[in-house]
Amino acid sequence: MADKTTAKKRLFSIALLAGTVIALPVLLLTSCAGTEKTAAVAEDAQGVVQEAAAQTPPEAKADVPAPAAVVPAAVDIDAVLEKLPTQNSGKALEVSRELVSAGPLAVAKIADMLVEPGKGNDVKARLAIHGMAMYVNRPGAEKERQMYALAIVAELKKDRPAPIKCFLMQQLHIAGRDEAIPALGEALLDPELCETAAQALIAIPVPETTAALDAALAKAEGKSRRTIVQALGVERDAKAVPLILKEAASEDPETREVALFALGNIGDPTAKDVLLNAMKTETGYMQSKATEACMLLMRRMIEDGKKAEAAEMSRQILKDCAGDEMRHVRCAALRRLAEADGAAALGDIFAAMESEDLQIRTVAAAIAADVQDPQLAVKLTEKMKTAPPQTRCAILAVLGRRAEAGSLAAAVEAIKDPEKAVRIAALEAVGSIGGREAVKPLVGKLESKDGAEKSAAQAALDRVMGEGATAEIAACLAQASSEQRAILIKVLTNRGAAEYLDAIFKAAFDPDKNVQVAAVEAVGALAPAEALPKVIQLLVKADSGAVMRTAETAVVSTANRIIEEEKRADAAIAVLPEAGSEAGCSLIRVLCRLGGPKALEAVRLATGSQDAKIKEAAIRALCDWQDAGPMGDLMALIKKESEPTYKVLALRGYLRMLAMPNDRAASENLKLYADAMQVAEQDSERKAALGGIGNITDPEALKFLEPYLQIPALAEEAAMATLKVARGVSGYDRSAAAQAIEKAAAVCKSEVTKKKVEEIKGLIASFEDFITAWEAAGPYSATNQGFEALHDVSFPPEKDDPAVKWKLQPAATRAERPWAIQLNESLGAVDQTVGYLRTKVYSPVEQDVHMLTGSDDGLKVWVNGAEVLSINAPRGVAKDQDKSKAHLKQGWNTVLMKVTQGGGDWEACLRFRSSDGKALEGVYAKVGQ
Amino acid sequence: MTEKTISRRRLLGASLKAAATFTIVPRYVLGSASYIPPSENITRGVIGTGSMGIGAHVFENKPGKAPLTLAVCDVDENHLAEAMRKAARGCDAYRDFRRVLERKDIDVIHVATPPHWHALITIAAAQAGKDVLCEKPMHRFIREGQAVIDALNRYGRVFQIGTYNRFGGFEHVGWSPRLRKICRSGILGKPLTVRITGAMGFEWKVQRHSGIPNPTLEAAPKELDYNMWLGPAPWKPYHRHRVHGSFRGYWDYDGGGLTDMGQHFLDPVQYFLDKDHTSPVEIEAEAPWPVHPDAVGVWGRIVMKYEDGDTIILESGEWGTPREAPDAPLIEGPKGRIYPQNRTDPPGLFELLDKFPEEPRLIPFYNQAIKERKQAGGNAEVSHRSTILLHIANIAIRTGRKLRFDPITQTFPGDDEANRLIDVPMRAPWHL
Repeated sequence: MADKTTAKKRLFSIALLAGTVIALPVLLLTSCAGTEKTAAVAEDAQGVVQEAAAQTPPEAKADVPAPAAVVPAAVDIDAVLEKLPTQNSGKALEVSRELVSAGPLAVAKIADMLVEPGKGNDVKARLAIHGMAMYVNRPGAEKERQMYALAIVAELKKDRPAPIKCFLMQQLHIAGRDEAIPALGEALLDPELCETAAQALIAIPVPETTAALDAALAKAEGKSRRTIVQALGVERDAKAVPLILKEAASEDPETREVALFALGNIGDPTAKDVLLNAMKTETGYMQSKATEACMLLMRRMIEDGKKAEAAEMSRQILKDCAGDEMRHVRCAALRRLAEADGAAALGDIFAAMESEDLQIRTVAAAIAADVQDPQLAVKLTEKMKTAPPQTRCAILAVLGRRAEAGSLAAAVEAIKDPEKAVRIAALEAVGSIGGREAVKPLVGKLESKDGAEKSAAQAALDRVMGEGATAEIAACLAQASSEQRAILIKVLTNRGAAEYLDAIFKAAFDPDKNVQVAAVEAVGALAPAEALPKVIQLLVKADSGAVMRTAETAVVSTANRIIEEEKRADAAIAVLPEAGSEAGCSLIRVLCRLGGPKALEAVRLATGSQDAKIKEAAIRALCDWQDAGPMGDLMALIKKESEPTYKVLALRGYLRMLAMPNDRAASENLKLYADAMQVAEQDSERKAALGGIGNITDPEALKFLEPYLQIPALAEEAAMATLKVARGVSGYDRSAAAQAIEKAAAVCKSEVTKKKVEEIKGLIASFEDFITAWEAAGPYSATNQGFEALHDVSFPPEKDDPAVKWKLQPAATRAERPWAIQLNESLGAVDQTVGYLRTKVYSPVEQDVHMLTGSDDGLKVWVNGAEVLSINAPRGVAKDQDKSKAHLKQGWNTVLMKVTQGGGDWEACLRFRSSDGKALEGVYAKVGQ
Repeated sequence: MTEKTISRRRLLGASLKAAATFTIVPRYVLGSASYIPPSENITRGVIGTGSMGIGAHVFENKPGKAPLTLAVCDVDENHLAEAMRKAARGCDAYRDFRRVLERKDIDVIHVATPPHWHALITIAAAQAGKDVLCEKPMHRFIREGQAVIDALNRYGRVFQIGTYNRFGGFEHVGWSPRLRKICRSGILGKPLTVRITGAMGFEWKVQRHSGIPNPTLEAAPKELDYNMWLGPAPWKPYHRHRVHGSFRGYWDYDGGGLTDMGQHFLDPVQYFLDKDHTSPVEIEAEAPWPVHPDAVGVWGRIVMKYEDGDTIILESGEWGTPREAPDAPLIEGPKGRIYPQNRTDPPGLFELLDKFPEEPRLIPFYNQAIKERKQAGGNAEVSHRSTILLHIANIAIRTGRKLRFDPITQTFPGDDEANRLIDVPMRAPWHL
């Protein structure tokens, strides 16, 4: 076998004759037995390449150098194939170069490795052939491309199954040009090859493809004929029109469809009557296809300069297609008319803009906006004087979209229109047309009593473009009413007009409170970091609660613009000692929002203030702190503070921080909760702490809660927390869970508790003797491999890899099959993958047992490292689907399950029974190593 | 299962938001007295009732109310039967989508087929005068997207793509309109780099949606019209992995995890980078090479650069050695960085935006866009632009080299090979 392989490799090794440009690939002959055959193969392949080259159209040959310029190199093809696909991006070019350098015989050898789908593994061969196609058609590699294409053409000449020829033609789709046309033309006449050949011809970007299609059309029949007609349509072959016109009358609707498309796309006006007639005679889907063919024909006629004919056809369609059901066809015809007739179509477009049908009006307005007519605005303005309201709205939309300065006056005039919808459309148009002159009319509308108009005016001011527009808005501040001033400041903010910050700072002391608030908001949005002291002064000098609260946000925003995080609180801290009571409280709130060690230290100090307001603000700030930094401060404060309100606030803050996501072990969290329970003075606080403990899914939490079940005032909360923890741990420690719920049930008799107790009891009971204590790992998958293939791929959990991260498998969530472990719950919803479950099973004696399993999809099970079951099949889970024999030793036994997942549910179940089918006494499972 | 739930929630969220912000417009502005705006009773036909179709598009017709799902259509009888059970009443079943388009009483077509059908059915629906809600990705190759836009504009139809991340929540990382606002504000400086990587929690599903390169032969099940399922795609022997649930692993129908998740992940990026009108000009991919001609494979890293220097970096985390850290910024500029969950460097950058107006609200498809005949937030133009990213990335993977793309002509200048992958011929009678 080894000798044969070596000989075969040598057989197809191709040599470079050093220093010689050769016309033929020359084989490096070796001493192996295949020498004569090698020479024969070489000659044969080269002959076909030359023959194919001879068929290349002469005009193409003139530009394309002979393929002989590509010099074959000595390449061990099998070795190169082994490298495919390259897993290192950098190596891709190298491998490609190696393959292509081997010349046409490499293509021939690799093509011989191709097999029909389902008859063997030819993945590497397909990768190589396709990879070469991709590589040779890169820009600047014409010689290599031609060598490759001719080699593929040569392979097409050989007697190969149709699916392989199709694969080869698909490579010409990528890399073929003129030289491929004759072979593809020939393939058009083979019904099994026709579709692929036609697609390859369409993809080849040279005009000569139509000749091959024309020739084939005369001979092709049935489905092939339809394929060729479509290809001729795509290629826009005018010579084919007479033949295609006949196909347009075919009894087969799909043939008619491709014929109508082809006639439309080719764009020969002689097809006009046939297509228009088809619009009338066809119905349903075919009518829409005939209509589209007309649209296509008109487009081609316009492109070819036959605009008058296209316009006439459009008008004919507009006339023929009345009624709501054909409105979309009228829209399309109107668009074609505008493309054909330009400004001359305005009459039709204006008429459409007067339609009562919104769909027609909307399309007409969009078309009008694109019409090339310098007088359009004038005409539309004139028309607006007499048009009904809906048309005036449409006209204003057109004026806005065209944004011509000359239309501004008309749009401004329309702001006074008696109809509200028109006034709003006018405000939008004024904003779109823009310019300095657009500002004052819009500012005037900021005092409108109508909310919609006022909003439209502000929105227009927000986006009004043009030189001087922002300056004009700022200038309007001086004469504006207080209502207008507040909105104008918001507009300046929205426009990011930081250059007017001085005016905005000034407005922060405006006599009107609303203007003050708007100005402080604007400062927060626009002020640079350097302005922070000035912004803080706005806070310190604020004379109303609303302004002060707004200034707090402005200070935070401005401080956050300082790049160095640790310096952000500095300015506020510096001002704090002198700020006075109200401003001091405000600054403490600012520090709370800024966070960080310096701010925390300043707030800590403030908790010792003699000023009661400052002290309370500081305590509240600690309680509201955004991270768990002050947890220690809060516990200390609880212990030393005498004021009950502060103690309550601090404990609430402490419990909130304790519940934040953390990396602490369950035991550590329980210790911190114990501290809280110790300092809590009221039952309401203890209850809050117990509620938090309910979120610790660990058997230790059950032990912690147990004493509180005996305290009547806390029993209910302790019971609820116990039940919550018990539900979570019921799968992997069902005895602890069962005991805990009994204790909870004994002390708490509420209906809610009873119901939950019964639910958990029912859940545990429904586990039967199935093993529910599992740890899960995964998901694992592999490139290009479905779940059936993955069944036999060995992943780290099978190799006892200590790096595997195992996680506790939550209890079942499917009420209808609580005994089944749902891997989706622990590993997520992933298709074409596998997951692992492991546990330890205690057996009081050494014994032979029956292992009963079920899974969705496939399953493998190892007991004490020995594989005892392998089912590789897509299936849904059921109890005891498989029965296998297993051996349990006395003491602990390891059990590992591998569950494959094709899609949908992903589940497994397992239990051990005696050989007579009875549950085993004393056998139980436990997770952990 | 997860995808179904999320999509449905997004869809419902979008509709609910639409309902909550409805504007009252005088009736004469909307149409004649005889014209009933479709929003008052929008009827739909759902084409493709596989997992996405049944999960996110087929709605139950409620007792006592006029049915809204009037037609369901699938080439698999089992899918169809399930859809009919869900729609419950007042709904007809079809195996040929062309018959659904002939129904005059249907306003909107939901396209929930595999992607190789998306553009063709959308275009046919527009030609039949229907508005369209189309699942992502919008199309299978670039030329299809241009044809879709042409058809929708020509026939005056409204379109929405089936992804809603630009409307608000962007996966697990942020709120798209706020990200847009901060990108456009200049606070982060220019140019910007956006990272969408597996390490950051973007699940590209690359291996999951890889194809099997050497499938065995199987007989197509009798309930499936396989020829119609293939439609415009080249004929290939049937194997179950080619169709339901795993079709994304084959170039003939889709483009793997990149096109499955890409529109969800990159449509908002195009939006917040303000690139809805353009496309990257330079694309480079790292992946095993050559790529199998039929089965989609894996990829590691893709870098796409726009003309103005803004750059998008994708890393699947499923092949090669990832270079981007799990805590890398989502958006990075010379002056600041945005991390998932609104964390910024320097901190508090979003607070600078608090006083700026929110970005104009995108128009939701149902109700407002259909009723007022306005472009929906996920309209065909912007959707096509975001889909282009997916296709040019896949073309870079397939050609194995750095590519240059012209956003205006939407072609690869002087690159015949890459250009042959932007317009793929179809089996007759299907054509653009």
